[in-house]
Amino acid sequence: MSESLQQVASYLGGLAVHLRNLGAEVPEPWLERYDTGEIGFAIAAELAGPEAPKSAVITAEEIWNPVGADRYERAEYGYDLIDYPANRRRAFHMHDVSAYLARRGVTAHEHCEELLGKPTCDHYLGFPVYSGYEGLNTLLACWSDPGPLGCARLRCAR
Amino acid sequence: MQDKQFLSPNDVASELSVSASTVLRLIHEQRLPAIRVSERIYRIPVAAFEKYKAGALESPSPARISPEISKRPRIGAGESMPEAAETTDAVARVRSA
Repeated sequence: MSESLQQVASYLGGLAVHLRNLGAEVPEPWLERYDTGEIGFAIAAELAGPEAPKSAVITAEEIWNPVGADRYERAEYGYDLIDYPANRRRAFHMHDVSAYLARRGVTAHEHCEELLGKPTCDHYLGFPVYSGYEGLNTLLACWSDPGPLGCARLRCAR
Repeated sequence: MQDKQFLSPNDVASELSVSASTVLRLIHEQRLPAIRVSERIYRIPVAAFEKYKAGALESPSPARISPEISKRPRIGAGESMPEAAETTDAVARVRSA
């Protein structure tokens, strides 16, 4: 679904406020315009909670391709949770789409580390995430749940 | 409450002296921020509840649009790419032959 520049700016503002209202610290976001004609953003949210060894952090990055006059479509994304207090990571990515499609037959992949920095698989097969809200909400659910992430249930993209 | 990081709808209900169904209604109406863990499980971060009580929840507003043109970043930079599958290699070899 395509959006105008202003609609993407509203969407980005909404994502930041969504995280802030859940108690996260999020700097004022900027929608960037790139030399390729694409637009995009990267935001990082420090989640409320234990600060040792560091606070848990959620990042959201997106790149939107131009598809017409003032129309853009989300083409790439990365939604990452690094939960330092719980020492684990979960992420949903879609980038380098043609390479993943050619090599693994998927457009999206995931990362899952029950122990931070010690993945049992570098990339897991994934399904596309519908929007930034869906990506962030899934990561927030992981963050709020003390149980295992369930990496063993995912399919490794070896 | 000070030691907890998350509250259940029941915890919030007793804090506000309302019923749990009232808390769920606030969540569904997006007036109380909450994390949906599953179909029936919600967790409310203590920091979010403090914002709610203080009337400090923010309303969405559009992000600013940079006037500058910047270099396109690469999402997933530094990440290893999956190796080419043998079948894909084989197809490529056949095609190039």
